[in-house]
Amino acid sequence: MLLRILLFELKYRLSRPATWLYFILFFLLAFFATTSDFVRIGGGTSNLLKNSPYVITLMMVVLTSIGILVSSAIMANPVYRDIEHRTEHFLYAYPITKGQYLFGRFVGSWIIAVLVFGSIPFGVFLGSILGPAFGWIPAEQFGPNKWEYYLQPWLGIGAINILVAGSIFFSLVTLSRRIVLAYTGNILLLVCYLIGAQLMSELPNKNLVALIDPLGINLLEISTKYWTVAEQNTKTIPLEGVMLGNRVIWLTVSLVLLLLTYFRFSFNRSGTSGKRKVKVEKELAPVHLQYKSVAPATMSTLAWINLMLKSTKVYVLETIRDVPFIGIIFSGLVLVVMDLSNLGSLYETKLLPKTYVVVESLMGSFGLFMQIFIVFYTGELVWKERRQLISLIYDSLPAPDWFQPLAKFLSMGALILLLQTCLMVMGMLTQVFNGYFEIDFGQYFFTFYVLQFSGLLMWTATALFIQSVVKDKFTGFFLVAVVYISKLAFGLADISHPLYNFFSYPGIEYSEINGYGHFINDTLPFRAYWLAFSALMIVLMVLFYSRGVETGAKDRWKRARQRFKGGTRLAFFLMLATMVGSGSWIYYNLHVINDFMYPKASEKLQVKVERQWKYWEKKPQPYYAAIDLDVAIYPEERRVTTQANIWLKNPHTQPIDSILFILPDDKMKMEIKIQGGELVKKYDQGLWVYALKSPLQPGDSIPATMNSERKPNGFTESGSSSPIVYNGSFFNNSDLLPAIGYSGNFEMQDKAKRKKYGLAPKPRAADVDDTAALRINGIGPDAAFIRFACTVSTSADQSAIAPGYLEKEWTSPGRRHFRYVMDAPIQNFYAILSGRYEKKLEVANNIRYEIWYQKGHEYNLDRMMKGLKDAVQYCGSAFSPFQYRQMRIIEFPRYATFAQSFPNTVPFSESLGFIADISKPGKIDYVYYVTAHEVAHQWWGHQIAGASAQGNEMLIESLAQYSALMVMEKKFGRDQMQKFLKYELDDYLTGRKTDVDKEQPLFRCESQQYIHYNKGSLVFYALKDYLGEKQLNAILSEYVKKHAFQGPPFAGSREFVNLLLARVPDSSRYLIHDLLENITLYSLKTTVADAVSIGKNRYRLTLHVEANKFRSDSLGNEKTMAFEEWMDVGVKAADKENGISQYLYLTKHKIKNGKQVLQVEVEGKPEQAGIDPLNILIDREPDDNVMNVTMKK
Amino acid sequence: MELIIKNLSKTYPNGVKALQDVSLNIGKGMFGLVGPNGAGKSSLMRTLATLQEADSGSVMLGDINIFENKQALRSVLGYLPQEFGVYPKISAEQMLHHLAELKGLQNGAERKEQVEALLHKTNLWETRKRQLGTYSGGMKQRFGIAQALLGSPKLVIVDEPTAGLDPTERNRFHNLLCEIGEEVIVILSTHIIEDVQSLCSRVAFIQKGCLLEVGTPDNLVQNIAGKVWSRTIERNQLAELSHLKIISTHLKSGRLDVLVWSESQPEAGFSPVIPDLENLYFALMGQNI
Repeated sequence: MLLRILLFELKYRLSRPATWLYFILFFLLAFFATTSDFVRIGGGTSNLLKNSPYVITLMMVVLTSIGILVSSAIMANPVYRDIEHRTEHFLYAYPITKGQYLFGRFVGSWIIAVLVFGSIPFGVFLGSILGPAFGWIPAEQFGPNKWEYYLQPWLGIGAINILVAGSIFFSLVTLSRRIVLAYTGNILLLVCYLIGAQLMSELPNKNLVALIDPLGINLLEISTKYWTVAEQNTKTIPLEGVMLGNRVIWLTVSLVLLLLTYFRFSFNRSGTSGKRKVKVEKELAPVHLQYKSVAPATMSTLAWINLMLKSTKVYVLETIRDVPFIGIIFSGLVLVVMDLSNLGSLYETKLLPKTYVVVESLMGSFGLFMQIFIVFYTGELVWKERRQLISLIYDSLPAPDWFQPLAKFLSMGALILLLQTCLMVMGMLTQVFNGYFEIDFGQYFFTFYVLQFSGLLMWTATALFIQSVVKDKFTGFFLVAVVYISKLAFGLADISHPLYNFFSYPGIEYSEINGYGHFINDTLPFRAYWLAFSALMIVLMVLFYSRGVETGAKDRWKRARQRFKGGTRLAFFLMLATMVGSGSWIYYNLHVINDFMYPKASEKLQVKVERQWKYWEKKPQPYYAAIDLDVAIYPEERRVTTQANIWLKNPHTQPIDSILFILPDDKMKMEIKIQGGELVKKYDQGLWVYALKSPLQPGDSIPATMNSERKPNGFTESGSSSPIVYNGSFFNNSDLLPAIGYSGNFEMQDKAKRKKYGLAPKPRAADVDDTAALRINGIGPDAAFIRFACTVSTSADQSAIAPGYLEKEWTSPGRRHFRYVMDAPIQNFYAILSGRYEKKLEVANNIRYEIWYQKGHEYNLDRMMKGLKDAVQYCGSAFSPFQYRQMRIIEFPRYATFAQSFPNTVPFSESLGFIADISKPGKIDYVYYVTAHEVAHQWWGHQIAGASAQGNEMLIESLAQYSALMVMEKKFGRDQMQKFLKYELDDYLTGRKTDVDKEQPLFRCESQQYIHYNKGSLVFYALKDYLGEKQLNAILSEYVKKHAFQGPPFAGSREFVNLLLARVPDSSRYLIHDLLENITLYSLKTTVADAVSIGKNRYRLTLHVEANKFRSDSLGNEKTMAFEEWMDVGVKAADKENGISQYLYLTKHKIKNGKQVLQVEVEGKPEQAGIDPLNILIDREPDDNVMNVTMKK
Repeated sequence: MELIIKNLSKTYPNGVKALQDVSLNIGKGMFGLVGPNGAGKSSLMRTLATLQEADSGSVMLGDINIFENKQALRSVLGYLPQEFGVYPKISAEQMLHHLAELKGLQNGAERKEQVEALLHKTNLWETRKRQLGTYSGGMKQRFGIAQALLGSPKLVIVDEPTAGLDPTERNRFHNLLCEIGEEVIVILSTHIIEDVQSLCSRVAFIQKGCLLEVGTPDNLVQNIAGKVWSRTIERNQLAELSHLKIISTHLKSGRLDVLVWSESQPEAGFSPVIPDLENLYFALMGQNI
């Protein structure tokens, strides 16, 4: 019987079009993801094979997660079907047991769901056959097809995911008899995933997250975290570790749920004839209360509005009592709380709960739930009367036609406001509980009740309109989803335009320095346009709202025409006029004043420029040699004018007869005058060519002036652009002066796109030994070191800062002027800032340390100040003397979130360090670290100018990282370093998995952050550990002194490696080969750590360790290497001092590859022991290096 | 006040002709609409209740053109749809108050008085506080008529109101309708001929959207006097009568009672019958006349 029920279920489902629709949908997704570059599922890099087991697994996991609605539709349905169609009444009377019924239906549905998702491996498989056969995708992007590559993701992962999710839906719906609970179940699973994704940002949580992830996305990410490309191409996910744990946990959960369903389910509970008592009606003697007709009052519009508000209230009250509503909101709020407890965490350090931080966290974490709410409840509300079959009565009442549509719109609005208020209160409570009382109520109200609310109303209006004109609610849901997808699709297809891409308007970023700045103005025309559109939607909703029975489009149209009168007609034309008006204004600004361009068009332009101008790359071009600026900043107009007196110099060996200038912005005002030069032509895109009457001879210089002005030029789709903001402007040389000569930096990078446009492949960086590239400055090709002076003026209430020493300061009416002069050469890379600042000043060893900051941001000034001083001091004594007499940090608004090192000036983002909450001890003090890093760039970057070739970032960034690490270690000690380096290790290992091209050894790194920052830290810290700080610093010092202020040729990384090789002892050379010149990984592991007592407080430890070393190629194919090297062996004490346990023993031993036994004697009780306990070496499993010691008799 | 329907036609997008050139004048009192399922009764009633558009034709209630001034009609309309639901979580009394307000009963005291009277009238007084979700079919139907009578309806349209009611409830319902019918126009659709005969002052037969006959029940029956003949035969003899216009056949103690339409005695063995509305109904629907 069970089998027969199951077979019936299968047959029934196979006859349903929906089943096939789902199958085809996922098949097409998988097929096109495999055979085109257009569809992308879950990312992946270009080196991954299109049919690699990792890709298939990822696709399976992502699609079963996205397709969870489909699983719920399939798995929640089998029992509900009988409830919905009322077949339960007779079916339950048949001679079947509930076990047969439940499990037959459940298993049948599960098989169907598994088959539906089987379309994914099928699609990939077919794609892997057809793709190369038809030449859609080159054959080299496919690997061999093996059965296990397909079956393991499908049955091992997909089928179990569906089982887990399915049993949740099945149980919820079967026991509650309400289909809506399936949606609530969806949301619960989504929350589980989101919470996991949130927790995952902190290293110690990763295993927990992997275990509790029901959907498998986090799980997959964690269990393949450090997989190389080669592994991703050949390995299926082994069922072990967290993978096994996760599967066991969730299979148990689903088994428990199914059993619960089995025991709780009963055939007798059908219908409403439950335990509810029905009172027997008493037959009454007729009461003589005479029915009299009561003439209705003549209703004024006002009276109807009153009644409408009453109806609105009823809708609101009914909604907030609805179980699924509570479910959605509760789930959202859980996520909100999670997010709020973890604000802006970086290296486990949080941000202070500033209002904008809290507000953004709230909007971010609840946003999705708000959208779900809108989509779902617009449908519920519009169809409410019709679903309850009461619409015919309502519709025949004399309420005006706008009554119901408007009541529904208003109740959605009220519900959204209610939710917004709820979020605000949660935000404020969070601030208070964190002991932060500077709550900015105005910002809360403005953000939640105006900015965000208006956006949400747009979606609400549109969804309501859609629901009002469709034939049923689900078509409505589908069409609303289409609107969402269209936004996504416009973006993906690069055809997004703010006039038709739904509800697109420039974002608003609040800054405590600049408030809402110019963003409000920027967003107004767009919001006006889309709000008018939304109001129009409501008018159309009123016109087309269904009243009575629908008898076709013709009648609907007829009725709409009848309703099109009076206020409705007025509103229609008013809104249409607003839309046309604001739309024309937007069009005028985007297309007439500015040149709006779709990404495709700008790509084509980029290609055109490269084709036409590439040959200029070989033409010798002059350098900026000396710059004297007169910059006038007008913050309130967002305008800046510049008059620059320039010396251009020919650094090359050939004469120069023409010069190419590339303007910062082709719409800006610019006037260039060169002595003996004249303008040949102004080409499009701000490319200007000048000819010199008499060629500029090698070594010669000529004067030039460049006068420019920048201010907002109307606005574009992303708002009005100008380097100047009302308060806290931060811009650099590239915003004011043209670049000289052609630079490959502007060329298209993407490999596939270059191929498509027929451009030659472009390496990410020139070869490390390319002598021509060594003559190009890594920071910009148009200068080496320049002489610099700058007069800068701004409004009277602001200060302006430029590199150099303040020579003079004066005022004129409404203006303040500053004269800065640099007495030593600097890189042609300088920042100018203007704002209303407070200043903190300290002087030590004749060096002025300044921090210019926003009032109220005093929290971490002392750390920054200490970081400035310590770093200048350390680098000055370790490498070479500090070249300046001042070092400054200047805060700028959070529109960018970095700190950047300019000559003796470090602009530091408001959001990066100024509001970090480092009050808790033991956390990584990243404010101090970032400060030290940026100061170190005064050496690595401003003394050493790297060449524009491979390895440049190692010289600039890795060495700045190393310097910062040493400054930190001096202050915080070795344990903190280990904590920090674990993040670096994690980032490095994760980064190499996602490299779009190929991993390079450190000394050949080509703008690969995970290498030059993360691996760089690890490598130089290891070198320091092996060579000793003193010896390494001596080599670095020698290097700096030799190459400081040099160029061209600029510093190259080959030279650096050669110097290291020459200076380190022979026995340590392998380190340079392993760490810098190659990609080397270790696998170190302690398997046994036994200790026996050998006298008073003395112990002998026996350690079994296993050591392996691999050399990896750029795709992660590894070769095992034989070795015999010195490595740390350490034993940690059981006793702790100040909560930190000390090492009883930490000495380097000679370790060879393979298993080996070591013996160590220590004084004091040991707790942990093992090999490389400090994680000096790069090891994919750093946690198994040490283990707890077992005491033996 | 009179309801004047002129040349009303409606064709659904799927081609079904719901109303074909229907013209009717309906005055005060009960008016019965009779026809088989799908004849167009509900279409006509919904059109009159402004819930559906007509393709052509006009309807006037007094001086209200109901297609041009729907609002005016709605404020004097009482409508009970054939099938309707209720909000399960609120009580009959609350719901009536709510609907009364929407009908424009702004005066609280008046509204209360009328709602209470209606609750008594429909015998729902005892159960007025109960959630509508717990109401039985009959109670729900009585609630339906109560809401249709809110305000001061001049036109009451009830679509198959007695379907599913037990005989007592049906009876009570009829009494109620009759009482109202004295003052206003009541249009009632049904396929129970007996109801029409006993309740309605006028009746219309409708099929496939066409109006077949209109009149008072008595007149209609008189018109066919002497044209209905009956004979009792064995069941297997029916084929022999196939050349005659058979109106209907009934089983009677195992034999067949056959009614035939004929101007004069069709054959020997047939005896004249005193006709009733049901005979007319079958005759019309069988397209024998």
